Amino acid sequence: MLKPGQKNFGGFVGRKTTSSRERRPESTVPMINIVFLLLLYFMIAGKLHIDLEVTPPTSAASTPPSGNLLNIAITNTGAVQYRGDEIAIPQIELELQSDFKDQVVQISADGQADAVLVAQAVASLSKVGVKQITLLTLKR
Amino acid sequence: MITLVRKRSSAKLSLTPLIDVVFILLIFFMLESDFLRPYVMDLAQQGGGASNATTKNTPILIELHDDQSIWMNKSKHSMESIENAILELNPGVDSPVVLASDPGVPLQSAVTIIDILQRRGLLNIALTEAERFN
Repeated sequence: MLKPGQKNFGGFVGRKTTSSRERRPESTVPMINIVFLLLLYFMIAGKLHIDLEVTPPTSAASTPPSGNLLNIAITNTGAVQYRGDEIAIPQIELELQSDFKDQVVQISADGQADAVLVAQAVASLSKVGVKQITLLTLKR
Repeated sequence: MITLVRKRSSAKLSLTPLIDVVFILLIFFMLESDFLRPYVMDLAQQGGGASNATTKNTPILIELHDDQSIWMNKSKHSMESIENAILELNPGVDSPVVLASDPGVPLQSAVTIIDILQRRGLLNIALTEAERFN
């Protein structure tokens, strides 16, 4: 039986205390601290978008791309882009030899792009004499 | 003499609007952030070991046909069975692999095969177009 001053919390009989400490609302300061930390984390670690014109294929590769390299983009429509301009693959051998010779070239191709286009680009780059060819992928 | 005692306001600045804004910012960044990081895989240059038939190891030929079938050394495989077939073949680590793709085969298929080969320790892989190799 409940006595005056007692409350029934689902079977638990609690005593109503008159302590002013318990009547105060729960402090929100720790929660705000955590929210601030989460906000900082998402602002710093997250990127709003990846600067890519294509959706690269997924792979298990775990080598991060190095900076300062030449990039050739191959879109899913078959367009080959170099420095923002659309080029034809034969141009690599004919006009852009000096650009690519002894350079590290990164191919960022769409996962749905024709694999033959990538093969042709690799063949042309090999003839020109590039140092290394890498293919951009996303983590599976 | 009259002294004016200015009663100092004891009201604190409310933090509630600030916290509201912070929550909205947090939700925005949580939903819009993208943690996808790009990685790279090496592609062997043509004219190197994999595509050069004069090397001491005979290259393993894997063909990707436009009907999604995969042929390795003239026998047909699926994406699931190709790994077992490579295991049975038991090639050396230095064995060159020529991955010859038909026109119309998506790059993702080729990259998946390259992944399987690299998982089996085969790193000398050349991606070529099927017509060129045949």
